[in-house]
Amino acid sequence: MEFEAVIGLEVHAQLLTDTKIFCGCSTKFGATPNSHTCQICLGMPGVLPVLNKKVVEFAMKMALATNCEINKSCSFARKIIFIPIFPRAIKYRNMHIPWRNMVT
Amino acid sequence: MELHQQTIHELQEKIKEGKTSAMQIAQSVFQRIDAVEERVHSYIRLMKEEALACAQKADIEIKRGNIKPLTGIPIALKDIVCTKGITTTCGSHILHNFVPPYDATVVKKLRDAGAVFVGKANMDEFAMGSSTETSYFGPTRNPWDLERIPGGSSGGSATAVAADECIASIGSDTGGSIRQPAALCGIVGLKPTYGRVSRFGLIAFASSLDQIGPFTKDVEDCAIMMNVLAGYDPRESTSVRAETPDYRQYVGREIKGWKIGIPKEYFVKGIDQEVNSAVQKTIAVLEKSGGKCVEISLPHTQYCLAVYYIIAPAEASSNLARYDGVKYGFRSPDSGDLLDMYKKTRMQGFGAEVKRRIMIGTYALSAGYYDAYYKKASQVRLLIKRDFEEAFKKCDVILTPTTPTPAFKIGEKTDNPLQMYLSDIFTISTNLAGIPGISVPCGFTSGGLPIGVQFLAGHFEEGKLIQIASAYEKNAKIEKRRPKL
Amino acid sequence: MKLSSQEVEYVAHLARLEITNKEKDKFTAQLNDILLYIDKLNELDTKGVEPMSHAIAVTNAFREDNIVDSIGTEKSLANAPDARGEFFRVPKVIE
Repeated sequence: MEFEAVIGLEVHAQLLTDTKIFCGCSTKFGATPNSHTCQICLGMPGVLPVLNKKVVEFAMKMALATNCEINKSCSFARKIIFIPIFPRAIKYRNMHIPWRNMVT
Repeated sequence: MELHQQTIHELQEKIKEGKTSAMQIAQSVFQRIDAVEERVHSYIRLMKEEALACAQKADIEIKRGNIKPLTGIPIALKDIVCTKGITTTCGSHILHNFVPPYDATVVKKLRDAGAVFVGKANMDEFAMGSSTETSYFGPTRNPWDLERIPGGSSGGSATAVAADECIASIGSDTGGSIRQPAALCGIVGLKPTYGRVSRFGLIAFASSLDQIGPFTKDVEDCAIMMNVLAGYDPRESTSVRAETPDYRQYVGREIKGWKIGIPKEYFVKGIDQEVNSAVQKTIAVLEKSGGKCVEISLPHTQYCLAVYYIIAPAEASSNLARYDGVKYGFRSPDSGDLLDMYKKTRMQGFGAEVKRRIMIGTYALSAGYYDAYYKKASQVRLLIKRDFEEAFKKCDVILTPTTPTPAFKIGEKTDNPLQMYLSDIFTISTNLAGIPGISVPCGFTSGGLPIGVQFLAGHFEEGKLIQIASAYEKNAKIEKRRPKL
Repeated sequence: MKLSSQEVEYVAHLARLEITNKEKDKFTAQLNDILLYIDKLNELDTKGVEPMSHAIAVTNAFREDNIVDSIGTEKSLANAPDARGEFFRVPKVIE
């Protein structure tokens, strides 16, 4: 029997924005734990996320730099995962219409 | 008339003329609360100290001539909107001790407009229910008959206004939870267009259906409240940048030549005879006022229930996933490892109705079923919205009964499946289509129970609702009664 | 096609809800009701109909990448059922 190795790489790259993706808390390293937090990123009742424009700009730049096709329409969907590090038990994924060859 | 029995506009007049003070109004309201609250149970938490301190500050501002739209006016808040430093429970055990570190946008707007907060009003747990019987803190009773439900889920907000335990209040509406209690308690309740009033700080039930709206004693007060509540909020991604008119300009205008749509799918057998009679009288008043009734059709009405009972629980199951005992709220004291902690916390923290909807929603969204259930329901939802868009080409507003029956007794869900169906149908289509709706009192049953009539309009046409509701109120001259408490 | 008892148990696990046997029977009946709703919706041909997630579509709701004051560690932990120093404490994740 012959086998062919197929290796996939899932690469995570942190975007160098000043604030988090859905709230205005600082992303700077080195502060005391749970100090760069607010009601939004702690997932408190009643809060709502608002997307950081810079995240979208950086993702589009990366897409262009790696010869990806940028889709005209993009949406987020929630995936429910019960882990303490996910305050709302939600992970946002681009579903249905992701940037081609890119997962944000 | 006592101060607590008056409306916002009446009290504002008296304040401007120096005939009363914020302190006098607040004290009148709290005296009323002392007299009736034990029997009605409108509130989960009273904020008397804060209210009187606020009233004192308001009187200083009044003396300076700095009078805002709600200066000195006692307002109740459904315990679903976050209030900084004040426990916000959503009627649930799982949030019984949650103290938000922030204010909801509507709370900030009301406070900036001078409102005096009376307390956090009782509600069905997580806004899931239509009778305020599922609150962890006990039921609220209808002031018109204490053996009966006030409606829900914003029952406490409605009874507080009906029993004069506040001058106006706010509630939330996902499938009728403002309009239905307004009808059963004999007051005015409005659900705005989706995106009209900010949801930031509103504890989410079904994010694509929820809206915050006012309960008031008359239509002019409703316009005053809407002027404060409506408007774009950059903290909410579904908030719409639509121009906010001065809603008070619509009060007192006539409706000559208006076409009023009567949906044939709503006027079927199953409506209580006295409710039907009151609604027919309403139609007669509107025609005398220059309106013309036209029959319209909303052909997908029969699918609304199925769409709502897939979408609402699905969204709720997602929104309630955050209640896990990790960062706030109740955590089960008798649990083992993390998984056990999650399961016991949620089992002990949530009531039966909430768990039921979470189960339904989780199932509808689970792998393999998402397309067949949630996606299909979302497609039919577009067809429902299109029904209204077509209808509004033929009429200015739509008229329906708000509920098929008056308030039923506590603990007694109706046996009649047709009535259960109609009680949902009259209100849920509005949320599915995102259009605004208002309920206004249109009479009483022979037993003295209030009846409400509902008007619906196109997206961002709250002005039309205020106009027709105000014209109806003026021309119908419904007898002003008070509950005998 | 009705849901089995195991399927209901699985849904409860997905929802992180511990349920009694009595509740399991009750939920089985209630989840089976959804199937009736689906039958109703399947009366309609929705080919080519876009699923509508929001009645009013709002696109490109962004915010600028500007730092806004956080609420601080004390306020972040104020509601914690179990806090130790600067951390939220939870039962062991991995046995």
